[in-house]
Amino acid sequence: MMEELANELVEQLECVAVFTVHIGGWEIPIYESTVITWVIMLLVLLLSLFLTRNLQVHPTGKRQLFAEMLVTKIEGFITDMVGEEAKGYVPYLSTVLIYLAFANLIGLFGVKPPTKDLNVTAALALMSIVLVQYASIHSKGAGGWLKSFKEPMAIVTPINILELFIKPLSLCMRLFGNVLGAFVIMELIKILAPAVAPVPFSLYFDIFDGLIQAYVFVFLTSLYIREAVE
Amino acid sequence: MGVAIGAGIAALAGIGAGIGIGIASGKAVEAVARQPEADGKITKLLLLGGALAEATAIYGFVVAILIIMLVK
Amino acid sequence: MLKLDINLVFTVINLLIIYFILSKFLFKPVKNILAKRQEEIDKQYAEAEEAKTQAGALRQQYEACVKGIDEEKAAAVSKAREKADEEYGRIVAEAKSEAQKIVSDARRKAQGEQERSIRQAQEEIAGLVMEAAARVVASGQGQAADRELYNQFLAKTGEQR
Repeated sequence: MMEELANELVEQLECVAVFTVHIGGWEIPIYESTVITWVIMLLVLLLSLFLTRNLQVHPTGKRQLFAEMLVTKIEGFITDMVGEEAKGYVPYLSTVLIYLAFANLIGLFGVKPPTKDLNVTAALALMSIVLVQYASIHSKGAGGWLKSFKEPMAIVTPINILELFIKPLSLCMRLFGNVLGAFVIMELIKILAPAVAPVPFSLYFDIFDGLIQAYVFVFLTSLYIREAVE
Repeated sequence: MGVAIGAGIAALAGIGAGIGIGIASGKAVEAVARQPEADGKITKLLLLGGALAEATAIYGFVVAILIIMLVK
Repeated sequence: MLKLDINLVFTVINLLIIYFILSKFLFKPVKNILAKRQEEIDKQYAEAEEAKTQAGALRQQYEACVKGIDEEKAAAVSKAREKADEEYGRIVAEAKSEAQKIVSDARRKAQGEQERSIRQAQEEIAGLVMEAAARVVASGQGQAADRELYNQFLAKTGEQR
């Protein structure tokens, strides 16, 4: 029984290569997470097209009102966090927020959330840290960026350089661990009591925790950007 | 066996997170009792702090999984 | 699950594509429409402002007009009053002269009447005197009677006067 359960769990946790692309001599496995990201991409595209179909200056439908409200709300929400000086990074942060919300909520439909794959969270963290460094260089110049490493004192330079790796690692692992943890617990509950019990847990782990983690990821990234820009 | 013990020790990180979140929630309740009108702001901060404090527990969890998966 | 490989790059590419999709198909059109609406609102504001200034100018003009009318009215009234005063003076003067004429006429007439009555009285007196003289002559009595008669006559005439 225990052996079986462990095997099932490991099977669920494994990132399966959906198919493998052969280019020349290389074998490139395409993981489930990538495929699900494509699905999310398609969903986002269709939803955007649906929401922005025949926009009018004087809105008549609820759809346009919803689209406008969505865009202004997300924008205001992120601008609050990132600050007025870094307004140019708002669309990227909105994208990450929307993607993470989709990715974490898609577990509700019985699909493995892509954020359970370390590749995805690592990619997000990598992009975040690259963006933060870019923002720093963009606002301070290359010299100012290099100088910012020995602030507030020259002696903390190694720590600052370490931070360069710790920040994305922490971002990546936090998101990954949360989603993985939620996923493991949900799988355990589903194996033990497949009928009604998963519902309230699903509410917490999939919806609440998923959205909170999306928020935290975006919040921390915007905090770093704000710090870099100021 | 050793692997399981190692994973269990790694999972002890959850203690710190539990204490941290407990303190944060208690303080939040105090703050709301003192200033009920700042309810929304405090809730937001509490959620954020909880998520950040939880990260330590998550690190423990990740390390435990890593130990189980990688150490054969 | 814990492997990092080429899928990381795929995820980066996917995210960039999602970023592109969202900014091109969601943020841009919505922002465009919002900007357009803002523009329209601004335009309407400007129009309203313009209309307001126009109305203000019109009002000023109107007020000036009203003021002009007032002045004109006052001028007309004063002119009319002047004219009326003149007329009044003329009429009064005319009336006065008329009255004077009437009075002098009356006076003259009264004088004439008086003179006539005096003359009549004199004639009457003369007649009376003559009658008395005739009576005196006719009676032929003494001087005493004469005097008495005369006195009588005088008293009579005095009474008559």
